[in-house]
Amino acid sequence: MALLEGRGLSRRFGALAAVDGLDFAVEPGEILGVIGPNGAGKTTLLNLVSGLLPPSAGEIRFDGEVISGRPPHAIAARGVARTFQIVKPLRGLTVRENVALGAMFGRAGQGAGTRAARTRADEVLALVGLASRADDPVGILTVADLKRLELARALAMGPRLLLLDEVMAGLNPREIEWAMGLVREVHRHGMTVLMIEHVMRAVMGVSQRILVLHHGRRLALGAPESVSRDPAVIEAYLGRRYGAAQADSV
Amino acid sequence: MTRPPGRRAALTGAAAGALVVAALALPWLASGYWVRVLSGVFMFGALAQSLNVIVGFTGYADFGNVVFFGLGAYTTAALMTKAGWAFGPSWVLGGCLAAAAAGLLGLPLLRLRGHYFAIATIGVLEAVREITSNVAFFGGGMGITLPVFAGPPEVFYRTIYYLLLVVLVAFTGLAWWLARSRFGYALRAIKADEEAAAVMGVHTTRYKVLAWALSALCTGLVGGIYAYWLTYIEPPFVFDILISVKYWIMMLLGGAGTVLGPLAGAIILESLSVAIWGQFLRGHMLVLGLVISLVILFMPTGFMDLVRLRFSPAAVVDNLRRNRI
Repeated sequence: MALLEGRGLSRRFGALAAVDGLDFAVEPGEILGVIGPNGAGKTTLLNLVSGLLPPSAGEIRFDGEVISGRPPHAIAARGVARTFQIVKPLRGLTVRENVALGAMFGRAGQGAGTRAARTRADEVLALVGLASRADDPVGILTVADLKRLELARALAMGPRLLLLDEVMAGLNPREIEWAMGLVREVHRHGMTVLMIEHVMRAVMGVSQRILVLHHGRRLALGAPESVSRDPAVIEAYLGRRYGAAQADSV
Repeated sequence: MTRPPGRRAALTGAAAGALVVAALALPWLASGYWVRVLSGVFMFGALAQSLNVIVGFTGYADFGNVVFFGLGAYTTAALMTKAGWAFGPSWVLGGCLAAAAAGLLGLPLLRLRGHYFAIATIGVLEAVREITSNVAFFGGGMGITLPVFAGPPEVFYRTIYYLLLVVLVAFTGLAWWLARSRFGYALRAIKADEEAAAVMGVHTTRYKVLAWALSALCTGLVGGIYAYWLTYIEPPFVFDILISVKYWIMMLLGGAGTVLGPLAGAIILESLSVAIWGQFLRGHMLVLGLVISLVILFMPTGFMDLVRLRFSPAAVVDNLRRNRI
């Protein structure tokens, strides 16, 4: 059974269908990349799954249970964690407190006290390389560190499904390599990942399957190699030069 | 170059403890004038602390918070006069009623954000004042006269003093608990970014409503003591937005969201009030307003933040630049 499933999922804003009759499934333990041009409905999809938006039609199931229309905190408690494209650090709290919050209120921490949460936060901070900044206020962090914090907070929740919204944006090549390594590491420990990305080499290099969205609909779904050669995908998003480079690398 | 946090906390705790001991001893050492002045400081300190729960920690601008003060005052007064209850149970029930009101109102009103919520709370204040003025059970516009304390005046004023000191210490303790408890973490997350808090698993509605009910309980308890102190209350005395403004400024002055800030703000503002009132009999409101403006412009994060930065000029200027309202 798929861990996350969407059936006939739609979300309209007035006359605009941001997501339009989408069917998709994420298998347990897989990394599904989501790509598509701007306005394709990728972030809306994440907002629907995480509960920040109710669907206009269709349903979403997590582990067989309907989660569409449920409040975000309930979905988070079930084991869904997400990051935001434009990071949302909690100002007024330190780095450790930000992550401890995830540890306290996520699936893994139901009922956890602050001390246990802070300990777990330290573990996760070490994993993402922010241990030295644990006591710093978030206001002084660099962009890359804020992304690490966003990820650490999500991981501290102990989720079963991790939703990543363009984590690579704004990172330099070395940081991208590091982020890809972290996603692989987390995946190795059993995490299911749905990642929205524009950085092609990252998402193609890490994902097992790729879902291509266009105008809120599914344009293609399959292994990275076949998706990147799909003429419709090349036409809509990747561009002929990318398509040619892929063909040459056969 | 910072002292280890444990040691700083211990020093602060020791200082606070010393102040409490001094406060306990004061009525036996100083004149009735000081007992009454300090009672006022304690009352406003307690009010500022209770406001801190919903504003400083949770980030919801409750301008009409004094409505709970009035509800506590009126419930206490009504139960003592109409039902013949003693002060104790009337007082507690007054706080509970205020908390229940916040709980009920919170469900619709806490969906509003920022300025809209602030205006809604003022609307509630005005409405409750009008209702109280027109309902016979609450004495209508004629007010309620509470039973007189059975004992000499100094004992009465001393009792009020200690009651207010107890609630002030209790509410400061509450702020201390909020700063380190799970509940407090949830509130601070809501204040920082409600959407992010929600996707992290925080039941934002439940925590917001609880925070407001807690704030209302505290404010209501202070109101009950006030009614007992004044012995006669009328709607405009206790449903007065200027009281709210005063302890709002105290909270901001001292530092919203800190443990000792609201108390520090109350002490500073009351001291200024007493000092200025003596010097500028006619212009004192103007001078007070000016002082308040200058302080808000140059200490936006409050006095306690200046203390944290040890008043170092460079840090203060940087703090000002980052936090200018």
